[in-house]
Amino acid sequence: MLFSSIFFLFYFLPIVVAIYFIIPSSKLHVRNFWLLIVSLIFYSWGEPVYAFLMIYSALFNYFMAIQIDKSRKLGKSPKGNMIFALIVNLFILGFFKYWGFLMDTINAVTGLSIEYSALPLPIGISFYTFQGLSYIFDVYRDKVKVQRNPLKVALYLALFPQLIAGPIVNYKDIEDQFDNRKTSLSKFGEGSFRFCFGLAKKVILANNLGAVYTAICALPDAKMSVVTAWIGILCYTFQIYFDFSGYSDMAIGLGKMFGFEFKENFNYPYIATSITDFWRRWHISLSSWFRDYVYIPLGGNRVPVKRHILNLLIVWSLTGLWHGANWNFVAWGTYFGIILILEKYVIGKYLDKLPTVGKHIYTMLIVIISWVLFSITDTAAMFKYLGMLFGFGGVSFANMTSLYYLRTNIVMLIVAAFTCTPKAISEFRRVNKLSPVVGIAVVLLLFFASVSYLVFGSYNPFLYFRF
Amino acid sequence: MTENKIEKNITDNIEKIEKIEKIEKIDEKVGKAEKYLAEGDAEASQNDKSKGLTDDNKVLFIKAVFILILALFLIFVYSRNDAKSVKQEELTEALLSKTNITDVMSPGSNRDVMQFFALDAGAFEYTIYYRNKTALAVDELLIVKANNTSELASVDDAVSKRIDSQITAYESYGPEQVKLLENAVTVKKGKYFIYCTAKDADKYEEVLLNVIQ
Repeated sequence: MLFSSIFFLFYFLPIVVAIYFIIPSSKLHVRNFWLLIVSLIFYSWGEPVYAFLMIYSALFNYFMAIQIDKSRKLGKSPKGNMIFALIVNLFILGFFKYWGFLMDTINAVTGLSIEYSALPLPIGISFYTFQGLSYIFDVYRDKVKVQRNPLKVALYLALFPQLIAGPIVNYKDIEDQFDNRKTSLSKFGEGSFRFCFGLAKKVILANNLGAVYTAICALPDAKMSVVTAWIGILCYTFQIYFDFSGYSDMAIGLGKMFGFEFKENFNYPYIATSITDFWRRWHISLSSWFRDYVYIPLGGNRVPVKRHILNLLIVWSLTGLWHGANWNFVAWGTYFGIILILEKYVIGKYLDKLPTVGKHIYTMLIVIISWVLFSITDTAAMFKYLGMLFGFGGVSFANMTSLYYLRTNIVMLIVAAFTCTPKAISEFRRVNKLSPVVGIAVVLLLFFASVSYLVFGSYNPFLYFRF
Repeated sequence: MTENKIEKNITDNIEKIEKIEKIEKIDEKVGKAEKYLAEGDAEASQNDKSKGLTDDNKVLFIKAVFILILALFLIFVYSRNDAKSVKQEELTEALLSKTNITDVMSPGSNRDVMQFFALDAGAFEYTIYYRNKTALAVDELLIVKANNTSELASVDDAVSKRIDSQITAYESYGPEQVKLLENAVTVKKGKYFIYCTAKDADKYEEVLLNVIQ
């Protein structure tokens, strides 16, 4: 089920909210149970069979966490149990996500044609597997108390607001909230506002920007030009940000409506002044996960330079691979790894001397090029598009098509660029403070505009669903 | 006096002997008790050990059950999704003999596949394409057998774009066509991708799946 669907907005969510608030706040365990039931229904909506995998994952991680805790209390090493849990979790993820990729690679390298069936990817598997592993690792490191109630572990993994596209919530951040969280009208209102902003980002901006990029990618070579290629990739740059941050806003907003506090997943990444800064602002929950559970255990930066470079390359290749079972994602991750290494050891000192505008231009150029690697899975097509951005392949600088796309999309691109900055939300807060009625009117306007797009638009799933 | 002394000595000795016998009996009992206790300890220790092993075995057993359940689930999901490798002719034959496809659609060419889906049919193992006979109809059926499953993502994208563009084209004057397009069938099975927009889309899907499953 999609957040940006009429069924979710007008049937599922109102029923879930109504029953949740009918249950007295003193009966938090009943509210938790209700959230677990509806989360499983939400997850089962498209592919019911994979709900079994979700329940399995919850029970397995619940059991293994207890074994890890028990081993430690008996004075034995919990490492064996932790490794067993890690292997099973990664096996499940690998089987569903990377099996086809592995077989294709083997076939391509060996020239064989081994027959196999790649399975449809269970939605959100990368997110809930990482959440399960964060729980296992935190119990192993004795950072959290082991959870004796399997329903709470299941709720932690399945909680529908963040289930299918994050943010990746660490168990330690939500542990107390299962038993101690408060709902209030103001918190509910705040959550609803956040949800509506996320919905508008996705439906009004991301979908329309995405349509432009798709149309440009489908253009015949004769109609392409340098300017058209830049308009296309700029649209994708904004699309992926509004798509994913929009989903995170909706997840955080929904969580707030039910009394949960999730950590922020985006912090205006397109105003970053370096790639290092960009990755502190983009998909924060994923980069924190890799930092805490891969980078630091590998030694982090407290190792010799060569080892540090290797650590960065490992972490960023894995980050790329997490995004998809294709070599272009590995290349995308490694590309960022190399840039981060360069910033750390080579160009960092020069970057510091650049004026702020120069830093922004540098960062955005690197980021925009990265989205070519990210969005085009076919290597030849990817290099062709990269070439067109810089005038290779005999494309003209501009033509009538580029003028058409520029004229018809310039307003949307300006709105998108403005919405990427903190200025947009601070303006809204200022207006809302002066006149709450106007604030509510703006949110309602965004909501109804989004719903109109949903009614008349075509099916547009979130880009991050495939991860 | 002497007799009395002798008698007393005898009595003392008898008492001593009785005491010794008692002590011996007690020693014997203590020995037995010690033996019993030692045996008990050993038995208890043995019990403790086996209890400990039982706990470990229980954990091992539960882990094995988890693995078994996972394996069974994966086999189930895999077999559910698997598809036989069949020739193009077999699928065409099934369509012609078990559906009335030729009443509403006619075979399209590779060039049509390129024109309507922007897909190069030559890049796949094979494609089968049928499209509407009348100008205002939106019926069409596309079957793609890819060389490997990674190719199916691009087919999926192309079909989604085709459906979107058809909906855009018909939304202002063709509500029935839009309804058919919104209920279009798209199925990925093994290396196959099946797309069908038609009144009896489910029927085509069923016939094709019966051949490849």
